[in-house]
Amino acid sequence: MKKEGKRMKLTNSILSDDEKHLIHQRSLQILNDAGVMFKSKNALYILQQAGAKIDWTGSIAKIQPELVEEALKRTPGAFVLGARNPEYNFPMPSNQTGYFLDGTCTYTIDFDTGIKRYGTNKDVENSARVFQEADLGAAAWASVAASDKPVHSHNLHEFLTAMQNTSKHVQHELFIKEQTDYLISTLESILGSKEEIRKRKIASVVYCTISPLVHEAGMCDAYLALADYEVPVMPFPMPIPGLTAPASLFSAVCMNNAEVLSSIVLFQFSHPGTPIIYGAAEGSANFVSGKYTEKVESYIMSLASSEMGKFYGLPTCAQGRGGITGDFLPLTCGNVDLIDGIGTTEQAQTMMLEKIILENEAGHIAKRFHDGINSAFDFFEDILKVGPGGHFLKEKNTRIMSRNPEEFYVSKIITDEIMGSLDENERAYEKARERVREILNGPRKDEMPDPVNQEIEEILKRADKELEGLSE
Amino acid sequence: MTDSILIQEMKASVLDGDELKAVALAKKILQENMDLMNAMDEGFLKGIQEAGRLYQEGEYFLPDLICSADAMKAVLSIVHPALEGLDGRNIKKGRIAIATVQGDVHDIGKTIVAAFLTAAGFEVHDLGTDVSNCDIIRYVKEMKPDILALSALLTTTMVEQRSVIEMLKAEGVRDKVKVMVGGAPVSRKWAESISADGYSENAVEAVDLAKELISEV
Repeated sequence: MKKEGKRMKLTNSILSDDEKHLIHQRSLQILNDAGVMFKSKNALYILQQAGAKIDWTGSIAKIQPELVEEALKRTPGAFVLGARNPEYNFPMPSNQTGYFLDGTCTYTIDFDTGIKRYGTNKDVENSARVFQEADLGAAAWASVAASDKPVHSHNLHEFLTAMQNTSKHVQHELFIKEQTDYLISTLESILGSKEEIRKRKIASVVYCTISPLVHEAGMCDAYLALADYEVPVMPFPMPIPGLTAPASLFSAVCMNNAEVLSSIVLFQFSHPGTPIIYGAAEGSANFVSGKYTEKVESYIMSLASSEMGKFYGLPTCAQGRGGITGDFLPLTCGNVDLIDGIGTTEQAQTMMLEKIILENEAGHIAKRFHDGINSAFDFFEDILKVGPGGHFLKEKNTRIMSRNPEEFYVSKIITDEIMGSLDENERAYEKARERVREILNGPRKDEMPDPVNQEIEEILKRADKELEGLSE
Repeated sequence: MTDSILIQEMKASVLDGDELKAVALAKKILQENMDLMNAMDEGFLKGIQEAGRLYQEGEYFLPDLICSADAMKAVLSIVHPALEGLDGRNIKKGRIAIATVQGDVHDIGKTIVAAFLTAAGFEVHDLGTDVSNCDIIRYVKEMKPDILALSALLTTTMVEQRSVIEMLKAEGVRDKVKVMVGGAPVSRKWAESISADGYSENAVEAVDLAKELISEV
């Protein structure tokens, strides 16, 4: 039935080669002329050793183009984002867009009461369990900041709780160098050895530069300390045109690129071969209130930035949100490897379990657009057989293809009846709620062995005690 | 081959929508003078009932149901004369004639409804598309269906549903047959205005409506 054919994929791009070169040149100029502020002395030292010009008083590193070129050469173009259960390993670059569970939200909408409240560690647990069932989900962030955990160690609780409750890849953040040992101890406990940590890469870290052009000290030092373990790093700048970037999408993309490149230079000169995911999370501002928002301009910039990532031959992650009708479309059709992410509302400030299910479906819809038309399914003979009038319902190909999701995607959540109906949102949310309920009431998947869980609890107890009083 | 295996094959042939096999098995029953009622009740009818159940549960899709319904229809066309002799209409819920009205060549909606009705156990006679009003009236007079189902997809052809009902009255057979109408532009209000006996929005509703109308016959 299936013949030799070609998949005619729906793709989009925004930057021409010339424009990519122009952004690259602008970025090199920014790094060389304006420089980048590194609040970490350790980072400045590494960059000085590499040949950058350091202003120790202002903590500014001016990075020459040749350092950037050398760093890019050292950066691996492909690696596997490992998972605790290898079945969920996510090789990058990927020919299919995967999704992050979004995080680290301040709030959540309580699943039982519907009331907005601060996030807790239990929310991290529940969201990781729901995310486990999101088939397009490739990697989980801890979905909320756990307000019920100590301020000096809550991120460790979130990180490890996410790892306990999903067997997919987990990415989160560390705030200070002293936290790295707890993460490494946990990974060693799960994987058995430091060598396995390097090999499996089941956890990675997100590295948020502070636009414009600033690297904070704590996170920077923490990740430099992780470098020996080859933990993947995802630089994730969030410049906002008009606020923390020039009031131009083009210039914000240039600045995003400069911030990512400065991160690459730092980590490649610290530990050549550190796996890097090129991140893009440009935001937008409401020019009346100054409030951060995510809207069409954000996604256009993310798309352009992810093209810059591809231009450098790197795996990419772009920020996007998925409405019911598939707002992930531009990024998916732009061949972004990872989209951050699913599971939040209110400009990613509030986690909602139902949204994990709904946006996973939005991802499927975007994927179906992107997958396009496949000429391998050429049923010309059926047309000749049925001829004018009549119908194709009885054709063998029809029966087979009606069950082929590659050709006809059927969502069990956003069903045909729901999509486009007047009460589309309410009905889709109700379906998603049913699914969440089913998952949370169902058995846990890929649970960690009890001894490992106990060890993690001990590690967290130590962190709660030992990290108190330490801060950036 | 034992009878029970043969019975299972009959059921499977309809369930799988394998029209050729279903026809071969139906002929075999007649040629070998097997128990026809048993073959129908435990074999073919079980197959179509199972297909309907699987459809309701979302396991079967429309193409599957259509194929099962057509296999069942093929069986009925072969065993029909023999069944008549056995008072075979007892195994049916009722006889329904279905047609797309004159001037309208749209086939698919009518075919789907016919399949659903067949799967529900009705004896369905599909008169086709663009069936002239005169042919419909003639059929009603000759074949005496319990229900006449009229489909129309266009606002320009839905008026033929009214014409057919008027002609049934004029010919004195309106009270002999229940008329149900459907199609994209057709509404309950329209059905009432033309004095149809019922309207259904989709194929599933059509089955319920047919059952209701049959109970009134």
